[in-house]
Amino acid sequence: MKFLFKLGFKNLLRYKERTFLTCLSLAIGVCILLFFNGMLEWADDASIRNLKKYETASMKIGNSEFFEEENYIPVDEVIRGRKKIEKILEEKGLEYTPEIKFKASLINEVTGDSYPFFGMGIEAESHRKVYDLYEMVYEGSLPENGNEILISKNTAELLDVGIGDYLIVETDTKTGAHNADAFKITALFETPNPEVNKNFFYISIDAANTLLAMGGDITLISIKTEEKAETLSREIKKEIGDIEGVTVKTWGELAQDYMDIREGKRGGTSMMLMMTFIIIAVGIANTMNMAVFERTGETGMMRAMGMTNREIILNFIFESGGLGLMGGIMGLVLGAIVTWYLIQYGWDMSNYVGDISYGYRVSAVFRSKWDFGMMITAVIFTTVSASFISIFPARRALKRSIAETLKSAGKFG
Amino acid sequence: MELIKTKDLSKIYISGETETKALRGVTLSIENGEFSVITGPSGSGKTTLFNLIGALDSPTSGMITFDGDDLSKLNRKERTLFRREKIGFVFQTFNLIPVLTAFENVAFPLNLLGISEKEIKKKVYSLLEKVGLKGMEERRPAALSGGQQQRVAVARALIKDPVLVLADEPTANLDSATGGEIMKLMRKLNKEDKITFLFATHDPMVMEYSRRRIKLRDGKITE
Repeated sequence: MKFLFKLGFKNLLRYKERTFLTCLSLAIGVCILLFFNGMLEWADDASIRNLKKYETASMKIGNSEFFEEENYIPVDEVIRGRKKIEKILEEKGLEYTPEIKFKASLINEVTGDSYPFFGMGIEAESHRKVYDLYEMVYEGSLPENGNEILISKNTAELLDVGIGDYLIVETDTKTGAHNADAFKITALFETPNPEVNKNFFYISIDAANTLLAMGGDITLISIKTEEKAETLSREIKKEIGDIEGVTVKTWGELAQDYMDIREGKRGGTSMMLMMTFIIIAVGIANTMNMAVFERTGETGMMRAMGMTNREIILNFIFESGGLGLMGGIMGLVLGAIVTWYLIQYGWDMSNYVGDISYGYRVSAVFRSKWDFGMMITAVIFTTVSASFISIFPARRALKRSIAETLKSAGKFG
Repeated sequence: MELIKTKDLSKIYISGETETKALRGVTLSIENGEFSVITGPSGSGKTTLFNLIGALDSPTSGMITFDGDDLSKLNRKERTLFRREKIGFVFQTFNLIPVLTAFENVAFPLNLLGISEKEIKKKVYSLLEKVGLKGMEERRPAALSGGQQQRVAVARALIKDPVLVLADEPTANLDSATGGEIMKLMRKLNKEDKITFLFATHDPMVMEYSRRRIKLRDGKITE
């Protein structure tokens, strides 16, 4: 076995240029795999982080009718038993914040331009404890009173407004009446969550209460926890069970669109592995076919001298596996360089992605993540795949009789 | 003592609808320690007979025994192990493995037999010295002359102490002086180690060295 291994390795050095080019093609395949995988892993981690920090918190309590008609945002579906719920949350030592989420149009009072948004009535003090939005506010702070509005930099550009300008917020009240009021832009924000940047604006909860004629009601309570959201959600649901219509939704349930993408990503990873396998298969099959063909006479000689078919196949497997291992390691190095670069400097895709909504809650500067599991998997996968692929040309060569292989190579008789 | 015995040995190759009778009832006996030549024009069946004696192929009909064992009854695996243990081959174009050194090429059959590294070292160095290649152990085939390469090939055939060495046109790719040296070397090994040598050749010089000539024509022994 040791001898066959040594021979397989020496055969790798027989055609150095070909070996290098094959390894390079495998390395590129592995590098592409690591590049996409690292970026998707980062996007996944960053999306979950950005969902919790800026959009969904760990979970939200609300009226089940409100959640069911989320696109419509029925502000009349308010939370009942708010005091009891808040008592339960306080007893559990959880950070929470009340919200009024509503649909509204923002209108530039000068140009008349109007766009639909989600409005959020927030209580600045508790909001800071649950969300990180306040850290992403520049030139001002979270709206705390009166008719102040916090919009994103995107929205400001879209509506061609700036700090100090006024926007008309037009919406329907809890009772279904039409209402509008002017709000002064007191601050701008820019989060790493593009969905929040594109779709949300914030006013104080008091201002929202007046605008929507909520009569002191709220539509949501956002909760922050370091525990597993699903477990805590079950516990809270149990405790608030007797409050009619109130339910708890975890961040995963709230961001169903993202969870669907996440599910698709799993299929994407399998697809990438399949693509890598095809690259390996084509590269190795071509090289090994040539090697087997060129060494027909040599293989015949080895068989004549008493090498069994199993040993011949093993010899090619070691050679091919060696190619796979070298290509895999080269790919690992290239992939590690690319991953390191992306982690350090990122890849600004804003020119390509722009304002397109692609589901991931990440900014247009793509980064990467070290995924050591995938790195090891990629090298093992490349080595095993390469070894496996060499079996076919070797078996094909062994179908010919020894006399025939020696004769065709012009070496015997 | 009789080493190889064939009786009414025939081999027919079928390609599509064409039937080629390569051997037509060859009956032959080769004694232990012989230094013999099978000769004949191209297409006379020399290589086919060589393939059958060397267990590289099996006959269509007839019988072939080696040291009393019926070769035609061996399956593929048994034929492989038979060759591994008992037959040494010397090829027309040397057929050395280019990525291996002279030492490693000669050690190849011993590796297949699972001999220890220590034993291999001892045997290979000794035999390379015997065939006049001392000091060239670490050279690869490309760094050796044709004659030196064929010496390595002879050493490779002999390293496992085979019962029979089959040499096909061993001098065809060598100049006459080098070919003569190789033949002398093989004759010497035949005499000293009592190894049976069987050649297939057109080369008159090889015939001169041999003690017995078996002439083949159209798949039959004529002389």
